[in-house]
Amino acid sequence: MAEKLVVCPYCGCGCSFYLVTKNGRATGIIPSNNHPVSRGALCVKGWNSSEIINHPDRLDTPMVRDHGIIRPALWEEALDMAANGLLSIKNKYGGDAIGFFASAKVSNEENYIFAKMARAAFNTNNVDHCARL
Amino acid sequence: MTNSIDEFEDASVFMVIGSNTTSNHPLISSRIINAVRQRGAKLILCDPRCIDLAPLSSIHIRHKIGSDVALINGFMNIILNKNLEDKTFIEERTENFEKMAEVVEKYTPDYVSGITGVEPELLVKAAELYASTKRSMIVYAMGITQHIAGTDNVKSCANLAMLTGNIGTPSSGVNPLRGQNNVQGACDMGGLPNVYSGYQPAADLFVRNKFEKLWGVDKLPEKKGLTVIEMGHEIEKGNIKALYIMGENPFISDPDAKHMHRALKKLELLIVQDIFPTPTSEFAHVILPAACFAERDGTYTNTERRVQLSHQALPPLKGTLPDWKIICEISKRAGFPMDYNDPSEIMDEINITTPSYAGITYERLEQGWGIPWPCPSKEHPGTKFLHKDKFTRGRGLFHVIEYIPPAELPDAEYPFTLTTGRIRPHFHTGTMTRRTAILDREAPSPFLDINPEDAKSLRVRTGDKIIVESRRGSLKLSVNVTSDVPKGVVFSTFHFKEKNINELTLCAVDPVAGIPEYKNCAVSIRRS
Amino acid sequence: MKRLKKENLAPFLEEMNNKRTVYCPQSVDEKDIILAPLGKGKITDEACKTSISFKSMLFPQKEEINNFSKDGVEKILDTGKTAVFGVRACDFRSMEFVDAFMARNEMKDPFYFAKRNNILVMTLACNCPVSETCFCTDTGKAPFLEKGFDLQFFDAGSFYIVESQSREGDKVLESDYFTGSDSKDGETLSKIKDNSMKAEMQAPGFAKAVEWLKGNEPEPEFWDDLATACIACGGCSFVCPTCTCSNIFDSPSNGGFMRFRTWDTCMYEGFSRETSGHNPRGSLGSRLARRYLHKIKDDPENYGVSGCVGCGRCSDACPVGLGMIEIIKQINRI
Repeated sequence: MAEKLVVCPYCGCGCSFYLVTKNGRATGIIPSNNHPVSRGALCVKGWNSSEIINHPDRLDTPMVRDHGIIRPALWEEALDMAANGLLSIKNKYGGDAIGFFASAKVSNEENYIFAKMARAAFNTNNVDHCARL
Repeated sequence: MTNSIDEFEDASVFMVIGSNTTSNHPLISSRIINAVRQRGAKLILCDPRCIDLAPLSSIHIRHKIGSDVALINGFMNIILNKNLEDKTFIEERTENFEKMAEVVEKYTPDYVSGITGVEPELLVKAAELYASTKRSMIVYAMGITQHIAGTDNVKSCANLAMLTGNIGTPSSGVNPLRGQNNVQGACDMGGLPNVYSGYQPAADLFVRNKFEKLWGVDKLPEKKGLTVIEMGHEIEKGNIKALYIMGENPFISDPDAKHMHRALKKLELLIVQDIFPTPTSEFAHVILPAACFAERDGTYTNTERRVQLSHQALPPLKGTLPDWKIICEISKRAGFPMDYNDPSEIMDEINITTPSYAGITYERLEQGWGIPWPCPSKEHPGTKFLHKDKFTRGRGLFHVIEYIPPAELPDAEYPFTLTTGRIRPHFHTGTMTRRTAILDREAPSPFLDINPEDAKSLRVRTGDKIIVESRRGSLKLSVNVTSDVPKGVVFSTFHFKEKNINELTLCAVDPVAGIPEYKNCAVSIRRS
Repeated sequence: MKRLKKENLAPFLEEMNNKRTVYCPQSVDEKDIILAPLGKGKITDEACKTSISFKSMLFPQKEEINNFSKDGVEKILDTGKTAVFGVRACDFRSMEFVDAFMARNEMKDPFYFAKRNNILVMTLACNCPVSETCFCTDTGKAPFLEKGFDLQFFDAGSFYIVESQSREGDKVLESDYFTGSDSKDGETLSKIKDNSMKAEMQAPGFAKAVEWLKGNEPEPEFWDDLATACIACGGCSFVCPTCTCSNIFDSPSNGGFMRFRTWDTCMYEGFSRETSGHNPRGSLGSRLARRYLHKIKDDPENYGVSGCVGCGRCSDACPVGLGMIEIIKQINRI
């Protein structure tokens, strides 16, 4: 994996850094000396932002609720259940019976297609995110 | 932000209002700190709390929570009475000045002092200082917006900037600091109920037709969409049956958590896509594990509208998929296939559909340090500051704004004002920072800041347990006695899921922006 | 003494990479120069300052050190052979302190020395200061090394003049990429050294401050004033080649748990907080005092080696213009 700039996952300053990796795991941060916002510096959160990447709590398997109990599932099953569930609600009550929470933590591309999906696939404008919170 | 972060370096006066910049935007605060310490720029701090910037301020205005409109109208009253306004700018670039001025007339220093609790002399000093240069920057954050008068507050800031000609020029403007790494981008990309990407109104038939053609769909929705807060209410009413939540934790982040709890429980289908389990995902019917920030390519737009490319540094954790792939899979199954081989192909489409992003390509982003939108063509360098020769709407509109008090004022039963925010080591609902050993050590447990005088009358000391109660719920918290909060005000954060402060907060929202009034609710406090 | 043509630097390092994992400063997308394993970017053949020093190869920001499973405790020692090219004299000197610190008690830090004993360090002397914040000469040291190195490279334009001071270094010089030195090379070398000593760089007056601090100490207000600027990011410690503080945490792993250590810093409030909640260095000012005084004053007393090598990284990484240069200047103004 190439050592390339990564945008800090925290606030909206837009600081960037390089991630140090070893054996496929993140082991540290290298600030970008020439970055126009961060200029070789970072804040306490930015400096310590690599630890979450390989944190043992990371969700690493899809889960579905089965008779009230949440259990691990294969991707296919979870995706089918999500999509079919949304479709059946759309068919029964209309797209406006679904709400979509986009995210201030994912990329522009991901937000764009998320909003596109809400509007084009489910015919609702009920798409919002935590900009207000 | 109307202006860029670099421009902080040449500002003469900063008016920081409703932003604990050092905690929440540390690298931007460093520009302010350097400007003040190294070249004598002046800082007007308007914040009821004594935040880290306070010792650097020339003037610290500790106005009553929720009195921002009165404060700014008061500044404008003083500026007009002292003839400090920029008459040429008002004449050439704005409209509706007279109506605004008429209303402001009543906001004399004495009148404003009565509402804000600030000495009239201090108001005069601050107004004079702000109006004394053409390089005055207003910097604000959620302390301005998280009120029922949030939109009014923002418009008041714009009024003040226009009144003094401090907008559309370098090192001036109205500069909201965005709290998440892509909150700007999520808005830009149409992650809002009323607009498509690039703020193209969803209510506009022409816009819908354009997207119908570009996306190849028969009919895009006409009905107005709902905000996060409104969706919560509609779930309780039974009108919304399903939620698809990507990378958010509304159970902790939304006001009145008990209401949110009832809403989440009521859903027929809750899909949560995230990198960590959260209190919200406990309600989920389907959990989709996503790749994290360093595990995929994508662009992020910072608070100064700079679109930057963030690179994949590691493969997605085994078992996870990048969000964009998950979305494509769901959409495909729902009968609307979206085929992209990688995020750059999505950006190609954004270039076509979104005028302000038209010239922002991966190729260009690879080469430089990002491009601030608007960037209408591949040759365009991007836009450092907005409203240079004219405002987006033509002339800048002065808004007529009257002060309205917060939704829930303290009374005999609930005599304290609770205000919430973030602290330096933690971020938002703590999903990431509380899983970072050093950061969690820095601030391991929830607390309630309380003024020494209040502590004395309650007979509590730092570390004592108290019960803090609002009309919506109660929490047991440790007390931290500090004069950083004024008498009658208590402060806490929403980082700690074990003591969710949003069980207490109020679901009153700004009628235009839909932002909840996190900065003000009434509480009572008693010894535990 | 031998010569290496600059055009042969990359092939030489690549050849070495077959035997050791070679790190060197590389330019990434023409944006930044970072210290990274070979192959991440364009090799930089001139002396330069990377934002993080090669200390991070021996003492990384985060490393797993113990694996606790039902089979017992495994000590995770990284004994892979490594090499690093382009280490400047100041960075190399920082290892004198770090070595002394890591060996301060009988149980020499095994995780550090596993890596330390397997690294080959190739230093590159600075002909002139590589950044505005370089101040090694002000600390009384030269931008090149006199002793203690394996291999030292001097930039002589189109080629390097290379000195070896160890058997390990001699072995490396046997590579065909190195050619014999010219009779004039000795003279060239003295010229380079002389010029580098004369090159103008930051001179905050390190020695003067050290001397003053022997009998004096700044008032607490001095530090409290600086603290109004400090945003407690910890960057000064993380980039410092002599900072050695770490913390240890455990996290669940495959039914057992993994113990890892991470860089820590005395600039963080929790670093010195006691179990009771009391913090002897509760104020940011007192933490600034602690950090800088121990670099300038306590480290030399305790370890016989300066805690500051004049690399200037703390000044680079400080978003509010503190860092050693400013601190020294301010102390000298008292």
